[in-house]
Amino acid sequence: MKIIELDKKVLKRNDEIAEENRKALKQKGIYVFNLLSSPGAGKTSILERIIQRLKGRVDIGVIVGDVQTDNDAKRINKYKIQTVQIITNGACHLDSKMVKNAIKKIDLNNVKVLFIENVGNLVCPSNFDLGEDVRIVIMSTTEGDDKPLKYPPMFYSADVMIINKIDLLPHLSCNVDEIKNNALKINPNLKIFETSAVKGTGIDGLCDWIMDKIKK
Amino acid sequence: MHEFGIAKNIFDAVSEEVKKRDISRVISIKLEVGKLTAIIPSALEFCFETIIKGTLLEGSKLDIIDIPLKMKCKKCSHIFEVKDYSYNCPSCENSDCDMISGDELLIKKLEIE
Repeated sequence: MKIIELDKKVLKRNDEIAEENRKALKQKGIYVFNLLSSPGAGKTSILERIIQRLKGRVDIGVIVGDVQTDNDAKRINKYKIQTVQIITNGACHLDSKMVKNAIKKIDLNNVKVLFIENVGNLVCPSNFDLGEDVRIVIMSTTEGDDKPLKYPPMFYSADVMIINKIDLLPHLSCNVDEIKNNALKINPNLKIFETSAVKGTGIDGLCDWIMDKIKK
Repeated sequence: MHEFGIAKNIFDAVSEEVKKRDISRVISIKLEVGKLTAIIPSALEFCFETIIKGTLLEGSKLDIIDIPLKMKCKKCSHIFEVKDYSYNCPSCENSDCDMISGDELLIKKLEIE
């Protein structure tokens, strides 16, 4: 019997490919956002709103991840922007290799900002770097104010939190300040936006911030 | 299933070493798993056992070491373990702290034949 000291990261290969993605996209001057949330929090709806506002101002590309169906890609396709659907066939998150393959299908010379819509899940995707510049976690007012405390890895690893569905607040017992406090306990550096994708509330502020990020 | 993807990554990472180093049998894999990875050890073991059946790693055991989530306060340098969702420094209530352990997902050692 022999012991081999390894000290090898389990996700080493994923991290390496993510770094390759990051370099390749940076070289083309493309800024990348990874959108994460539980299923139904409003990732696609927010993305549609962003596209409506930013189309014509900046060239957008979208990679959409889902366990099954290309319904989300169809929703994005309406806007005539480059969209690639990844169907994971059961896997609950995107990994960097899936994104690497998806990137090959995009004409990178005609994209300045790339949105990757991850599979709806607040646990698994947090471990998997895809090569993004910014990680945005979306939670909605219907999910429970303590979501950040229940899923700390996701909120710890995110740069931005969007609280969506604020138009529903009059009908809910949700306390937005409580959500913010809980999220900031885990990650004091989180930048926070409040939106309603349905009504369009807060989307302008979010888009201004996205444009600032791209320009930098 | 969160743990399945992780188990597959462990399988790939260890298989790579087995081939590279020409190892005949891996008895156990010592794995450090930080609390912040949200991995359930029993689920990970179950997935790993399923994946290794009929492979060169069949019979290998996962030896999982839980690593606590520890923070260091940026203000008063107090080191504390995060318990009951409290990420603030218990000494000075400051919320700006650095994580010093808890996000590990590391293959530490292989015990081989």
